[in-house]
Amino acid sequence: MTDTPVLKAEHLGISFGGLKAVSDFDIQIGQNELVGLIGPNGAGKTTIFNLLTGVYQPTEGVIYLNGKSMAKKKPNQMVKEGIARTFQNIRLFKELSVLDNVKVAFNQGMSYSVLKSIFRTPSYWKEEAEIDRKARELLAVFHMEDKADSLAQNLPYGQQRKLEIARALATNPKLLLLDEPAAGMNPTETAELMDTISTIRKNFNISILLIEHDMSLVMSICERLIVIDYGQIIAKGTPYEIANNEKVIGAYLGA
Amino acid sequence: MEQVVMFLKQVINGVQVGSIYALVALGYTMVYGIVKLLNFAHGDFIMVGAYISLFAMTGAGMPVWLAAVIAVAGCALLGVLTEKIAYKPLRNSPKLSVLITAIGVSLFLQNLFLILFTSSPKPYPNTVNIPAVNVGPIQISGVTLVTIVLSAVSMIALQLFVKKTKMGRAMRAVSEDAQAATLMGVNVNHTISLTFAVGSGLAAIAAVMYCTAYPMVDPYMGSMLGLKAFIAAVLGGIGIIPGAMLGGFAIGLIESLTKAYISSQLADAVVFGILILVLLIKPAGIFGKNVGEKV
Amino acid sequence: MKDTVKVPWKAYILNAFCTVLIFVALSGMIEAKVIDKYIQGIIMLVFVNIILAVSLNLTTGFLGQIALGHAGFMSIGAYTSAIITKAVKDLPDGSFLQSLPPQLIFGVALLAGGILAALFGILVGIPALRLKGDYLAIITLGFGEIIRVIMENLEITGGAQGLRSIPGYSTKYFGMCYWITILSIVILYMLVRSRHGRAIMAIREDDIASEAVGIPNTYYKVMAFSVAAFFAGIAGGIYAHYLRILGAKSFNFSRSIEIIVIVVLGGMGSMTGSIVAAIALTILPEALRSFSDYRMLAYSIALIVVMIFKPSGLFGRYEFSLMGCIDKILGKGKKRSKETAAEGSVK
Repeated sequence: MTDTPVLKAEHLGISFGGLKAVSDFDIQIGQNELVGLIGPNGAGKTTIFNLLTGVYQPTEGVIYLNGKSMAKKKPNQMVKEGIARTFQNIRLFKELSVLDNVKVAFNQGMSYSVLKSIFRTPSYWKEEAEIDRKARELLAVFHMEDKADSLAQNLPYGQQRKLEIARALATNPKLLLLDEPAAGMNPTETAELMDTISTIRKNFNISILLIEHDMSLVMSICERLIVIDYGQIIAKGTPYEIANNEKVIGAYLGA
Repeated sequence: MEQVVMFLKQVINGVQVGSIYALVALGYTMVYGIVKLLNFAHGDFIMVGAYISLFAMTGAGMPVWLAAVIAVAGCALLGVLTEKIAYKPLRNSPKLSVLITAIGVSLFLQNLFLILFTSSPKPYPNTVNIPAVNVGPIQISGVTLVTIVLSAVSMIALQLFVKKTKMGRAMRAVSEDAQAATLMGVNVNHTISLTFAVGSGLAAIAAVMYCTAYPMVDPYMGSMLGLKAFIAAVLGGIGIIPGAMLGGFAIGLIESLTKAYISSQLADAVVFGILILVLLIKPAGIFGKNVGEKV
Repeated sequence: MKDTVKVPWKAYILNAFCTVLIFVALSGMIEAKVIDKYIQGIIMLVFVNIILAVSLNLTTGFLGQIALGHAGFMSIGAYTSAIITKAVKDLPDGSFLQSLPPQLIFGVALLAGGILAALFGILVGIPALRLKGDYLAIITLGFGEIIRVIMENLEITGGAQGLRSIPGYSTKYFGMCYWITILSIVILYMLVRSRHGRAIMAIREDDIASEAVGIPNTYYKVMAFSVAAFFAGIAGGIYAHYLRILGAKSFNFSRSIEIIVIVVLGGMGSMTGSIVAAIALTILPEALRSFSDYRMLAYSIALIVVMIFKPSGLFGRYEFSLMGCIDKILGKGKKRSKETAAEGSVK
């Protein structure tokens, strides 16, 4: 049996009012792979994430998840299909508890109806107990089980980033998109984050696509890198190849 | 022929009411543009302006132009005070809180004037003694003429003020990006106060014109007028000055024609219906640009 | 791992007991004429306002969308149910529908009013998908006004004269209205404390993030609006059968504002806050009758002051819990998990 790639997109493109933000973007991510997406500011990295998560509909090209077309899917449907993400500027449910932040993400896997919740049927209690357990287990992976009842906005910055990852994992994704997870972190926190990412890969058996500016992080954990500039791929390859690619160096130095 | 005359009369009516809406809508739009606040109380500023001018004329025996000047000054002051007391403390609060505060201010003004002057409408003196003008078979009353001319002059003056003066530039800068404006040495607080003053002053001019056309003053007169003007502002694209003018005339015309040809009771419903349609089809209004939230 | 989610039987029983107790006390006092017709009327208004506030809290407090047209939904329920009960009353004597118990007719009429209001709620919920904040507020206001204008101009609703001699079922079946109020609170509370309620609150917190974790925003927004409208319709029905006349000015914009005031003062996102505020803001103006002119003035000042100094309202998002209170008094409050304690806070 041949391996279907978890994510595959060819000639992906989007334009806003005639301006091409991303064009001819090809990507393929295999099982359990960790790929980095890098590029200078404004190169279109987050736009690519927005395309891959259904926030924007591509004007060209189709996205395939495990061989299945994702055309015209809305963000919440994409999640159901197995793509989860975090945001560059953390978007937690600030005034909900840490535990509830994770529980919300379990929602799409739950099935009790509105009527069942009103009558508090046994299925309500069963499912609620089950996700309560699952959510706490997930928090434990991130060493945050003791913070379950505090409000998300009261967490320190590093933990907010982790909670966002935990929340994304709660949707049971096959592919996780991390948008600058190390932004604003100090070196210790970044090191800890690198540990977390490798733990996730091991424990959850998922593929990860990562946008990151911190080159040391990208170079040390990614297996492959895709470099974009002005919405187009300018290089692909292993971290070593990329580090020595003249086009990439040019893009970063503005030459 | 009679049909055509009748229609043209309705159009002129519409332009008259529309020019008042446009003036009020300008106030909404300027304030919204600069502090992103839907000043629910703006309609009630009209009511306050109407009372001030009424008492200036009947109580102090002032001529109409002086009464209007006093009303403008009074409303400008009211606008600035409202901003300082009720809105400024909430500048960084969630939108919901600010909106509720604005509703509170509106309720406050209405009920304060209700207690002070009772709910019974007070007659407004006849102020315009300009003879009617005949254009072919159509007679345009003096009031109508004055209203249209005055509002056109006010709008041009405002446009010049915003485009040509230093203060106007500051206003545009703050509405574009308040933080950047601060860095460039614009005093944001002053600019916001100025915007409230100008917007509320326009409401006072609108009040005098409205009362000249419909000579009754009561504590609730501003709420419907304000709402329609707000709809006008949204229709044209809120925050955009020419949009507010166009929106004002459009709402005035639609209302006047609905009253004449469909049903006078349903006119308000039609205006609201149009607002809903516009927002659903083009949420940023006719002149507005759609700016989605950045992800 | 400790099991923290289990059926809070104790709290349920306690709350059920208390609601029955209040019911018995109220009916006893009515029977003994301790509560006269006037006070009974005020209590009826309390019921109406509780249902209105608790339901509006779903959209404004939990979904985070300010809605200024609640009176419009209320009017749909009021007119619909009144038209039904009036029609049944006016049937020739001895017809089948008249032989049915009037409570049943009343109940069906209320339900019909609620359902029609809910359908209109869906209509309002659809623009809510594209708009938020100020724009949505204006849209809901617009819908409310459109509904009012239409109601005032339809023949079936009596036009501008309104409906008269509506059967006085609300006063007659006081107990029924009481239980409908309790049921409304319980239903909304149970809804909010479920995965559905969590989803609704997630949309309030961040609608982009909620979609990114798989919440179907569309579904939940429309649901919240229509459920809120449903209960507003029920409240309108009770109100109509208490007042017995429906006029042009019964459901105007300021009525919607009054409900918003209750929700805001009680605390957006607190059902118990809404209940307390509804009781207080219905009784206080009656108690201070001589100051009735100043009522709205006081409301407006209260709104501004609360927004400036305590924007979360009196209760914030806190839910009062009887069981939690007792536990605290007995000194074992800390052992209870938040979830179970909150479960027990229905009235």
